[in-house]
Amino acid sequence: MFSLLYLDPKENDRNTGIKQEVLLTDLNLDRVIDKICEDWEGDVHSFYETLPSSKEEEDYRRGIYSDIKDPEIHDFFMDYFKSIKTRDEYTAHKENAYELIQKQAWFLREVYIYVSSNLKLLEDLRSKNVSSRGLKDLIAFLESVTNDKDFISLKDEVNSLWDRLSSFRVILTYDRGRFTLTNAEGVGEYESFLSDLFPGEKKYFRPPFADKEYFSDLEQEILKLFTRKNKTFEKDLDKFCKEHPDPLNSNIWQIEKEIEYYLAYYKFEEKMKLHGFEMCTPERGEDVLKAGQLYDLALAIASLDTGKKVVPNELLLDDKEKFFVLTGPNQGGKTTYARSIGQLIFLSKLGLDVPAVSAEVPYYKNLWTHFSVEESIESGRGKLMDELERLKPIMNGSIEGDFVVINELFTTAANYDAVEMGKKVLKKLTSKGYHGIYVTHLGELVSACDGIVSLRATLDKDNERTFIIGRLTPEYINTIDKEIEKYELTYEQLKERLS
Amino acid sequence: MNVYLLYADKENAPGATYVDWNNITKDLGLNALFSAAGDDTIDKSGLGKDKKGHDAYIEHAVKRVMSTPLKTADEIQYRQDILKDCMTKQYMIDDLYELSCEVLDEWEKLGRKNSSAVETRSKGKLITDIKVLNLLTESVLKAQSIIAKNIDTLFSDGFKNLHERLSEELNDKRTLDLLKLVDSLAYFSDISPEERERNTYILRSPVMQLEFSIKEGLKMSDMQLDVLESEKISYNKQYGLGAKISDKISALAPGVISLTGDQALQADAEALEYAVASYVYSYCGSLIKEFGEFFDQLHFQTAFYIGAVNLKACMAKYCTDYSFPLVSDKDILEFEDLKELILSMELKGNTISNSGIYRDKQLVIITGANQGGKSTFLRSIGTAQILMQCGLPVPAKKFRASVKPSVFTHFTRREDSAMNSGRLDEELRRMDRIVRNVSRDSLVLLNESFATTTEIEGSDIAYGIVKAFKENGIKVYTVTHLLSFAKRMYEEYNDDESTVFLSAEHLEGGKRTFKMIPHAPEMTSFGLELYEQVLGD
Repeated sequence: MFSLLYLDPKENDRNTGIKQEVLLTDLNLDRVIDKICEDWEGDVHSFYETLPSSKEEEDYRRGIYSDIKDPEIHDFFMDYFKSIKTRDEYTAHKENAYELIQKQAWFLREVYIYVSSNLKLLEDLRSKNVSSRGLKDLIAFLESVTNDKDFISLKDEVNSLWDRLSSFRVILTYDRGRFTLTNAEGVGEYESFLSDLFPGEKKYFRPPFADKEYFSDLEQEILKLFTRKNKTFEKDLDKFCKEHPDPLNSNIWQIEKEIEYYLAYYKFEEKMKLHGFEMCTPERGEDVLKAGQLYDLALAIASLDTGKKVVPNELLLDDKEKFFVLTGPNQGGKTTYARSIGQLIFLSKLGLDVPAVSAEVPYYKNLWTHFSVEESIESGRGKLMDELERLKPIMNGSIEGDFVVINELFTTAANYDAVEMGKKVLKKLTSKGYHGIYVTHLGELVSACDGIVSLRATLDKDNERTFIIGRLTPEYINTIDKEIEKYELTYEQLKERLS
Repeated sequence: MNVYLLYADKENAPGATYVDWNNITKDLGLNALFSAAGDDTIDKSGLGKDKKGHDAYIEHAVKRVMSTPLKTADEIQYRQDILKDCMTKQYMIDDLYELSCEVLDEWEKLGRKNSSAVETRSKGKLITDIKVLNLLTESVLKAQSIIAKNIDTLFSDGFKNLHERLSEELNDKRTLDLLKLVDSLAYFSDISPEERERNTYILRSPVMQLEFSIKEGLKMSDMQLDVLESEKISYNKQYGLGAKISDKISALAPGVISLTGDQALQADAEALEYAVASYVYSYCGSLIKEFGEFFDQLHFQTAFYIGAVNLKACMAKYCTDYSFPLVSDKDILEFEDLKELILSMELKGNTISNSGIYRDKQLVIITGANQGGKSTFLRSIGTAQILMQCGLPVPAKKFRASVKPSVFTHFTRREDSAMNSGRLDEELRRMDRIVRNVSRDSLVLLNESFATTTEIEGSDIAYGIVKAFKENGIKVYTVTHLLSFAKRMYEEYNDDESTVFLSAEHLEGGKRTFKMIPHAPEMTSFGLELYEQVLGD
């Protein structure tokens, strides 16, 4: 078995990593994944919901994705993907066809495109210097498949039958209630009239019975003409079909699906870039987590419709630093910032590009989230219990190198209690070697233990929210505003503005 | 296919509207002018009717065109020339406008709104779409002939070039090809037989030849069209069409399949006819777009010129004089017997005119009596500038000015005058918007700005702003009631060559002439007098 996603594809349980729906919704990654799928023909949801199970697997995917971002290689795979889609249509036709010979003709079409598209992909990839382990292995895999003697004989037979069928041309004349059929090639006079009148345009001539799976009476007549002229074709085709009942390699079928993981994301990334949202390949950091102009990808997607500005932020967690405690005004961008860090790590673990201009992400074994549920039926003690229950697996986890995103804890508890509990949580998590971010309105938490970095969502001088997160201690700011100065209409200001 | 009657090289200038257009419209009261442009005051029927009605589309077109200033003397000349042609050849411009109205109306009825880029149309939709193609093709040729008929008496580059372009784009070969295209599709769209004489009808019947392969699941694919015609068949109602056709098919050669009596094959034939018409029509998308845009533009642009002719008629009627403005490349504003058009229309011509020459004047400060005609004067200058920059005549014996594509107005709105910090805020916001967009060649008209706060505060703000504008080379005309502002400016700029102080003429005994004369600002605005006059003690 060869796979473009997994290093050990035999493994049955693909969910050794985490697949938590809660995590996806907490980080609004469900919206991101929905968007990726919305713009892609084909359901690729599940690929993005499961994280790779090792550092090597993450790097394996990142390597493949980097190769696929090469425009030429991307085109190879897109061509390949398009032929698969076309083949799927043939398969559907085959299944819906009424008559045996028609099923067989569609089968011939299906096999022909299967053979030629795999050979084409192999030839294309060989022509480029691919650098990733994954694509090098793919070339080797395709070589072994296409050099197999079964594949070679399949190829020879399908080509010969295909030539006979595809070279047959018919002329149909329709005049005053009569059809005349002849086996010949025409000259396309009216076509030249059209191309003369509409230079540079070529339209698709949709066949009149294309949407009918059965043969129309006219097509029956055409088929009769064909079999009269090609007496052995029917027999040869029948033989071919019987000899190759199931020609598609199952591993190739698997790979075809996996390619979509990269292509769909690439399409999505291109779209975001087109709208001015930069994305980058994260570098593998050792002990430092950092990103330049990091933003919330889900918010960016929403802004495509709403046009609302998305404010990017800087991120740096140095090697001695362990946990962010983020305070600041309500609606000041705190949760957004926490989410964007979660997204950064999640997408980086998927081996894909991240929403930032630059990024360096160390290997985190797991990613955890804990978001307070605002509209919980439970309240008071009940809600607190619920929160603590949900914290348990994170607190009890024993593996080093996890990242935790916490958004407001213990909001229903008394202030003093909430501070004390928050400190305990931070102490415990840092002592276990976890990294993370803790969004809170409790400024006291910044002094919980060593390794905490205090962040604050800032306001401007008019107390308007800037959505910029700074390395600042918790505090409250106030400013005064003067009408004319506010509009920068004093003489001095105008001199400055108009010069 | 371009109309190019507004600009020599483009249909429109998107994004080049006056930044402050909404405020300009409101401050100068231009809506009355647009409305007048839509009123058909000209008697075309010769029956002596004064007014035929109001055309809202013409109003709309004038408004839209006027919102975008022309930027050079050449552009203005181009439009003035076309307008002069329209004034002498009114029948032609009316014909073109009516033709485009008819085409667009008919198209609307045929479901233009529902037209879409979809590849597959229902049979009914395809029939109407082909009818639209027919309609547009015929009408384009009609438009061409309307202009061709008049070309010897047209003088403007705009019409001459349009004529030339149409002759080129609809040359004999292309015209024949277009007619052939439309005709070959007639079998599909001409569904009602045409009666030639009693009981004898003409029916369009398809003659087609196409080729294909059967490689896709043994079904027809890879199609190519070799022949397509719509043959005219005449038939007699008494005998019927079926009889006629079956007559023709007597001997069937091998490979010949007759439809007669075979319903399944007849259905196949219908599908084939549809597929072919659909294919050929798929080429026509760009043609329909091209012709459609041509008529949209022709409709819009001729509407503008009809509106312009109407406005000229208003000027002739209510302002005694009108003239085409002269564009100067020097910094000059010269006007002789200039009237404010909108007020003149309102008062049926009973208004005062002003004359003046301002060379290299950068700042004009107008003070003086309430109800003395200051605002009207400011508006008359603003309106004339906008009219000139749209290629229209102005209500004056003579008007010469430099082009100012960037015009701003900042008028105190009557309803805003209450002292209220929210109002001041709004005024400052508008001023901030002006400052953000203003440049060295802007013209800024201020009318009683900052009257929404106290005299002292208002004067301070106005002083800072006008001084800063002045020092940065921005042209400002300001009417003001802020006496300390006016006084301060007078002390500072009385000797300045580029500053003029005007005042509403105020004869002894309090009589007003409504004329503007050079005059130092008075320290009273005669408001008390007016108060006394209206309300007594």
